[in-house]
Amino acid sequence: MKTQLNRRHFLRGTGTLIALPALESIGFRRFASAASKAPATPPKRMVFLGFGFGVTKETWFPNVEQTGAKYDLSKGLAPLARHKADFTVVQGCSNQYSNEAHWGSTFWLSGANRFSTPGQSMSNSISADQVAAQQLGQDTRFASVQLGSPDVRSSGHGPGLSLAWDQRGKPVAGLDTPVQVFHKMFSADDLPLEQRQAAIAEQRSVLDAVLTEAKRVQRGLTKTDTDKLDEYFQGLRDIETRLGKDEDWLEVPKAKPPIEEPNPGLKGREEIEVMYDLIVAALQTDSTRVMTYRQPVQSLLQSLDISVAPHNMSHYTPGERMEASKKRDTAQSELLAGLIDKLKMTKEADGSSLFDHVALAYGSNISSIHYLDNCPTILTGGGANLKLGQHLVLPKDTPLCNVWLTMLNGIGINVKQHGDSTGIVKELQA
Amino acid sequence: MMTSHNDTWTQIIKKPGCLTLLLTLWFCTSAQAAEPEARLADKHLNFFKQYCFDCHDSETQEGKVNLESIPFQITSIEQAEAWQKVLNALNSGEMPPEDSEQPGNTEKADFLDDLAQTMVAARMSLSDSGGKITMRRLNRREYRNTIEQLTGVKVDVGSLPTDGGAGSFDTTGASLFLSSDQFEQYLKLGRSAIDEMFERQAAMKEETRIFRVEPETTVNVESLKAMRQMKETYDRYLLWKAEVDKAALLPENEEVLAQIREKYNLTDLTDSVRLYQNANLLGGMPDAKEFGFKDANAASFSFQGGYGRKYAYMKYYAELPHSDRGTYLKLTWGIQRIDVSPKPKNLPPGNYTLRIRAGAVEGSPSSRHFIEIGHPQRINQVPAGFAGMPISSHQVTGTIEEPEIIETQVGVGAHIQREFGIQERQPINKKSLRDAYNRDKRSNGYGTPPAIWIDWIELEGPLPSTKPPSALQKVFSKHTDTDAKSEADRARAILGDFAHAALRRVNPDPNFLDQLLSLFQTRRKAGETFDIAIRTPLSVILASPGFLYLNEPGDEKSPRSLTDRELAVRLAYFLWSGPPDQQLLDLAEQNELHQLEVLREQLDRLIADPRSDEFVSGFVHQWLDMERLDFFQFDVTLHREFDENSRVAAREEVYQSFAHLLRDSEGGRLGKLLKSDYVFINGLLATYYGIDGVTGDEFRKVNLPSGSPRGGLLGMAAIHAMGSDGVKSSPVERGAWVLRHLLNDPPPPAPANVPQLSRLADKQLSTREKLAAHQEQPQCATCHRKIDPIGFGLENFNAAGKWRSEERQFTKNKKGKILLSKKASLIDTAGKFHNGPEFANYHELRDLIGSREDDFARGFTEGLIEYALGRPFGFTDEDLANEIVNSAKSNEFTLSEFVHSLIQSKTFHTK
Repeated sequence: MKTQLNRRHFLRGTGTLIALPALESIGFRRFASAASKAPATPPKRMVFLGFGFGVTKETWFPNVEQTGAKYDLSKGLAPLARHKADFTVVQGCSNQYSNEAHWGSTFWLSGANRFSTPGQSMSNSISADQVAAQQLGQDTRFASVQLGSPDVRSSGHGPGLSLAWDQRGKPVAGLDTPVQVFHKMFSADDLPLEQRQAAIAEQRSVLDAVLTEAKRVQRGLTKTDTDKLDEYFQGLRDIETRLGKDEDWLEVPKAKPPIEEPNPGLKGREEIEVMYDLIVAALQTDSTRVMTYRQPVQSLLQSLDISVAPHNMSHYTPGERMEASKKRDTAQSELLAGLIDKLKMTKEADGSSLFDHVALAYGSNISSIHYLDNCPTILTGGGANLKLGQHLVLPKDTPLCNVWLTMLNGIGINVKQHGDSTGIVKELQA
Repeated sequence: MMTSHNDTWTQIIKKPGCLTLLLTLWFCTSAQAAEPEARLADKHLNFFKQYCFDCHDSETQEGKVNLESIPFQITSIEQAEAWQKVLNALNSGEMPPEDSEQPGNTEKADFLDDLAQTMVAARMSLSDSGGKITMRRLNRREYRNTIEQLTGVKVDVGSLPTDGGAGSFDTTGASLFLSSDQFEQYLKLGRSAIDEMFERQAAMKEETRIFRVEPETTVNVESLKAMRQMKETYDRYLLWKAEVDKAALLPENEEVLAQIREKYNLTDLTDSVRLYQNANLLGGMPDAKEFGFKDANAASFSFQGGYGRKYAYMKYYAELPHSDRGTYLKLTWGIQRIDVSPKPKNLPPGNYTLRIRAGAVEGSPSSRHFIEIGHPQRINQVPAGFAGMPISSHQVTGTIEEPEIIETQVGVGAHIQREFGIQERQPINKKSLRDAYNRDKRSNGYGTPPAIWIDWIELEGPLPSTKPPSALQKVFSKHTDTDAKSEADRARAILGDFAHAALRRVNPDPNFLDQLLSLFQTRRKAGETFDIAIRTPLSVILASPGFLYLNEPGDEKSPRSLTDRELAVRLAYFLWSGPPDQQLLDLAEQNELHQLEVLREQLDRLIADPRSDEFVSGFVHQWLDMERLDFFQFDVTLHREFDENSRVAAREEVYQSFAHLLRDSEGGRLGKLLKSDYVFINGLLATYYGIDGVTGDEFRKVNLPSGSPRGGLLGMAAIHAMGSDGVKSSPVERGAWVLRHLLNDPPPPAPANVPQLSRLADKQLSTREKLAAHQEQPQCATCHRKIDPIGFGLENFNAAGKWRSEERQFTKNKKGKILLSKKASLIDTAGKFHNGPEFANYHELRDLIGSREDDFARGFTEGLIEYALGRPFGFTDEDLANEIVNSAKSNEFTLSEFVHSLIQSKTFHTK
């Protein structure tokens, strides 16, 4: 026990910037007991879906002359018609520091300035989902879950391992295939309790051991290198947090999967569809309350029998490439409409729908082609108490982070600022 | 920087007779060191005065923008942001506003050029690390190689996140992150390597087995069986068909027939498949089930998809001579792949030899005389090509009368599918093969003729390892269980020695060893054997920070020289992407490594060692942005030959050409990459390029006839394939690539929010005509006037790097099928460098680029410094770069001299 407390003390000591919720809960069993029965009111959830290369400007955005509830859906959004009263299209927002014409996801949720740190050519800051996870993630088995795809290199997302960036602006890893996600969420651990306890104990001993070595390595390092090694410490800290959680959840079996195990090797449209199903499944079972998904574009195109490469498509001009771009928009809107259907159909214990408790944002940092202004943004779900069913045209260059801040506040996370936000978007509040 | 040269140049151009001087200047534009500051030339003040200050001077400050207050020299992030906004406003066309005076196109393009370049310099200067080398973790390649050296096992690092991004090398410490998931992956991968090592060791005690497949007893027998079934089904189909034909004549069915005709828009249903598919609609028809078919559709498919489609094909193949003692590989239908699939337990992890006795069919095209080897894939139990990419491809050099044995080494790993298959080389997308089959069938009555005959295939192994024992093996053989020591002592010794090796001869914290030992003991108590229990702590070592990070203690305020051990580590990871070997470490221990002659000698040894292939591929791939080579599946209709095998060979050509120069201390001149009178190719690429007399799978130096477009990077298929989208060539990608990588004059990053030109897009224009639009808008012209002429100069290479002198436009029909236009137009490659000399064709263009060796050398050096030191090239490195270029230049730009000069530099020895 002594070494364990030392390790925890040490981890806390080095990570001055980091809140360590789970570490403060040594021997604290609140979560397990709370989670074993359904919460009195359904919890709030937050979901971000990023689609890399933007949309077809001419046919995706509704006419800016028509705002409010009475507006005509654009062609690219037509598949969402049945949900028109339940989502809001926001125009006019952008991330002011974004200059990278092919990075649709890197700064999408953080609004960071790549060059903000002197002496570094790349830095980022925490993404909105991770801000949410710090609070919403406390009571679930997984604080947040990041989904991705093996096929994101040429999909216009930019650097990163998922849409998520942690408090230090480091990339958060994601799960890249539906099968992986399924197993992480739902694969039952059949081992007897004692063995699982022993496994956790062993993992702790492993952390103890490498921590000893890390302290040796740390001796005499420069400031920069110490910062670098801190990622390692942070990694151990995250595992420690997770082990704490595992312990809290030891006697609570993983949720029963509401869906079948997905087939391996799904690509493109089917892959996104199954990932959406998994999002619903994970939220429905309250396995996590914060999810992001960095969607594939290249394989989506291939599954739609479009032979144009994503980057070429993004540079559409009237003709084949523009048609490809429109086809992509339609497919993505259909998929989103399907996800909304499922969120609406899924019932909570109190009879309300899952949709009522989710705050979902769908979009990209890239508008279309190489445009980074007017980031395409759709907000849906009742979780953040937003005014849905409208077409909202904000003044040009409104910080996108104002939208994120409004969502965060709406869902009950009382941060005053996010990224370069200058305030909330009042028009979005119901 | 650039500005002053351009100025000088413009002045000279105006004077006649100065061409020689002009060229001399052009050749050395960017070879001179850039000044370490980001400053916009003062002359641009006029631009502001004329177009901006009316609204944005210190008095008016419209939109709170005061351009008078922003200094021309950028020294802070705030200033850079202010300038970025100016650049963005100009690029988006937002400023100057439409109703005010507009700068001329050239004037605006020139200004944008300077401002964009100044911004690049500013970002570089502001993000300069000041020479700091951030400690880095092993990247994926290094991790894989290091694990291999320690355990003898090559792990699949696909589960680790990809390195790099943000445009830096995968050796840049600052961009190499580590997360908790990754830590767990390291534990898992380390464990799987250790497990496999034990499996391999156990396999060594087994006898070597030989599995032979004689296809006449497998493939041919199965084919005949399938044919018999097909024939039998066909006979039933004929009986059923006769019934349909009878029913179709009944007056009661007239209406139904009319409906079918209407549905499919047909005037006549005689012999139409639509009739038979819809036969169940007809009255007076016996049920298809009576004929053994599920329904009418299944009955007609048995002909369409079976007998009618492939019976003649299979029969033709079966009746060919020599089918009694071998088989012909089928490309389209029937059994196309021959598998060697022993029971997996009979194929333990280890090294194997695969032999194939084969011959090419006389008269078949030589581009088809290649087989590929891979792991068989089955979709719903039906064989379907390979799982993943082919492992290797091989040229079939023998004939049916005199077959040759192709022999190659294959590895079997614990987590890899334990069977192999061979097939004729083919594109992954097989649709076009079927189109070709149908064309062939129409002309010859059976389908695509065969190209390769296989006598037999043989797999032998596991074979004794040819490599020296791994570090872990050595540790185990040093501390055997016959030693008198206690079990705990033995475990501790093993853990201590392995940690020492894994940490590259650093001693771990003794408490760490205690903790590892207790992990072992817990497992032992739980009932595991010694050999199993020890693996847990061993894999922890492979996830410990001293192993994962190349750590060097230091003090930013007072840099110090590296110890010899640290130097050995830097050297090995630079040139082998792996750990130092015994010799390097021993020299380090004797404190001799840093001595100039020793260092020289060792570097030559490192380069000569095959392990430096890791440097070649790792460095060259990133330096030349070769990632794009893997972005596209090439359109099979247009580029049938550019399959995965060609892609691999094309990539290898680039590496081999570089490696040759690196290892050739005599004549390994860097500039040969710009132009050479030889190529490095194998049989496959020679066939691809149409060069005669080269057969076999080994790459070798082949001299070119004069006037050949090949030789040098610009003649390589890989480079042109990268500069395409898999369908068409992309002059923009190619031009920008040349500027970036050959001329060291990189265009600034693609700006955001530039208005897109779309008015020409739906017209049938040549690429050149379309891209002429770039010159209309100054925001585009600022870069494209430099990029496009070079790209057009390379248009003689199609998307897959084949030479062409004319081009045919094409359209796509609704099904996405490519329809080539009948009219071909001659390709015009003549052009002129922006503010530079003219060229009449590709050859002149290549000569001009070839004359820019100084610039090329400079760009290469910057990449080399970045890769070797593991930090972005910054202004701090200007002197170092100059030093290296000068030293190499005095040695005729011998490639290895760059490397020598770099590793002798103070920077390389300093933490």
